[in-house]
Amino acid sequence: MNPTPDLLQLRNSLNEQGILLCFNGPLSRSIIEEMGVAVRGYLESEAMAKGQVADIFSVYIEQVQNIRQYAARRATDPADLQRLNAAIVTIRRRDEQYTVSAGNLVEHRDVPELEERLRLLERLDPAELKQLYKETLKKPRSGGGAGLGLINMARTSRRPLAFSFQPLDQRFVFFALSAEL
Amino acid sequence: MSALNIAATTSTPAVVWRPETGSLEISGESYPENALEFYEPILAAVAEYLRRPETALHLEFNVRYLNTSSVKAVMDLLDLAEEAHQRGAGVAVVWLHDADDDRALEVAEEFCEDLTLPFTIKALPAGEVK
Repeated sequence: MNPTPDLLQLRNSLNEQGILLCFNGPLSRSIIEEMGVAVRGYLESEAMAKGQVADIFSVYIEQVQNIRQYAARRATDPADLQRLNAAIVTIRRRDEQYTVSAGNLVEHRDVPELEERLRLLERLDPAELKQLYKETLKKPRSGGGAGLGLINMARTSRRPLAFSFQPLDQRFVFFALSAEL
Repeated sequence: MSALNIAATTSTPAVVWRPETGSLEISGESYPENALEFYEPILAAVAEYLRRPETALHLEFNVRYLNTSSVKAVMDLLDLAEEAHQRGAGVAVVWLHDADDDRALEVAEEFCEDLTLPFTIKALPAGEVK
């Protein structure tokens, strides 16, 4: 029996959706760095404006680091940490628009606060987002995390952050977040 | 007081701190997972230095990208400098960035928005950026 996974199907699916780069697996510091180098390298080879490369890179880093922080906060043991660090990250191009997306596991109990925060960000205009960013910057450091990073992503994106929550099982919901640049 | 000489890594900047002259240089990239942990010894060294009267402090930044937790840490550092400036110490900040990167310029401009200390932003032609 052929040990190859259905690569043609996977390739077609990725191509149809304009996905240029995709990572699926547990995030670690080194994977984040290595993927980051690959992302930048790829975007630079596309002769993209440096500011736009910076935006895409920034949104990518904030998304994956938020997942790492969340995983560290909620994991109950090393195996659980591995499960929580598991993410799917894509960078997609449609026409000239790039979309950086990430999906990870979030516990049911964390959904209301996360959703509320995202809905708040949705309603703010660029000036208000900047104001919120500055206020949050001044606050003393809290354990939290998805504060500044999320606000910065909202500021960097051209449109409000797109998100969805899909229940998976008793403990987890699949949270997907996208930033269009 | 001891000097600091931290080598750059993929996600953390090179840091050179010379307490004899009060000169701090941070260059490279800054996106460690835990920026607070990375910047803590730097903040501590500068805070200790600033306890002496009549100190001069010169900060130079040449960082391509800062994640938000690094922005927070750098803001804390700049707040220390601002405080010293308002007390009459000779403080100056120089921020270098790639001339072709308009996002990097925006980051620099935002840092100096609420500061009164001398803050110079210099655009480096691509060849000179670290």
